[in-house]
Amino acid sequence: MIKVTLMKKVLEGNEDAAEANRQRMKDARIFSVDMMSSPGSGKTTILERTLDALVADLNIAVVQGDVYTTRDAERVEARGARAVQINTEGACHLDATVVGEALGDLDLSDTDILFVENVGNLICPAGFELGTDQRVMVLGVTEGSDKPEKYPAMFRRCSVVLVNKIDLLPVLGMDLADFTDAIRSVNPEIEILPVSALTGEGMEAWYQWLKDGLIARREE
Amino acid sequence: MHEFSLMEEVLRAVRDSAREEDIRRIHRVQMTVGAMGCAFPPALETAFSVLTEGDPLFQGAALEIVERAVRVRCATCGWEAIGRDARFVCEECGSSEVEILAGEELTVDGYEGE
Repeated sequence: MIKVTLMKKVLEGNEDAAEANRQRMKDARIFSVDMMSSPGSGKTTILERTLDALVADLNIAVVQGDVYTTRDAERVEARGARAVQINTEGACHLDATVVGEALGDLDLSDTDILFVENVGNLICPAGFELGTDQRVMVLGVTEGSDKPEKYPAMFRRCSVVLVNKIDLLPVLGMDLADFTDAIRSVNPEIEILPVSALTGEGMEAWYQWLKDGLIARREE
Repeated sequence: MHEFSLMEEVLRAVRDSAREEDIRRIHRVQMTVGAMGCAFPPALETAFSVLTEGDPLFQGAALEIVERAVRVRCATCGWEAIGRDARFVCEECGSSEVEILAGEELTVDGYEGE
């Protein structure tokens, strides 16, 4: 009997691919964001609004992860972004290798900001870094304020959370503090941006955050 | 069910190593999975049995998973907590400088074979 010690991270291969993506986007001076959330939090609506606000001045590309449809890619293309659709065919997350292939289909030299819209899921995407500069979560207030505590891995691995649909807070009988307290209890350092993609409330702060990220990338 | 893609990575690492070590039959594969390691051990076991079925290298092989609870320590005052008591803001002094000591593992530790 032979005992072999490997002590290898299971996600090592993905982390290597993520590092390659990171370097590629850095070389192309692109600011990139991985958008993660549960289904129905409003990721695509936030992207549509964001494109409406920024597409006149900036070239924006979107890598769309979706289980079966091309619906979301069509929505963002209609707003002036270049989109590459990845159909995961049932898989519950994107990984760095498939995102790397999608980057090959885009003209990176002509891109300022790149969004990756991950598959709607609060569990699986957390472990799979894609090599973006930032990982952002969208939490719709209709999902309830217990989500951060239920899915801490997800909230621990993000630098920003957009608390979306805040126009519905009065209807739900909830306060924004219910969400900010819950989020900070699992990640005290995270930046919280309360928004309503429907009314536009709070969206300016999000656009500014994106522009600041792009400026920082260009100053590197 | 991303445990299938995780298990494919585990099996790839074990197969590559077994080829190098000239091992023809694997008896057990050992992993460590933390409570925040983003993997569900029963799903890993299912993936292991499905993905090794019919493979002579893994005939009769078992998957052994060591599960690790989340353990945290406050860098400011030294407060420690484990499992369900673990928080990311210190319960003693309120500091947010809480380090995760364990619970994020997701590793293939090794295997035994001949």
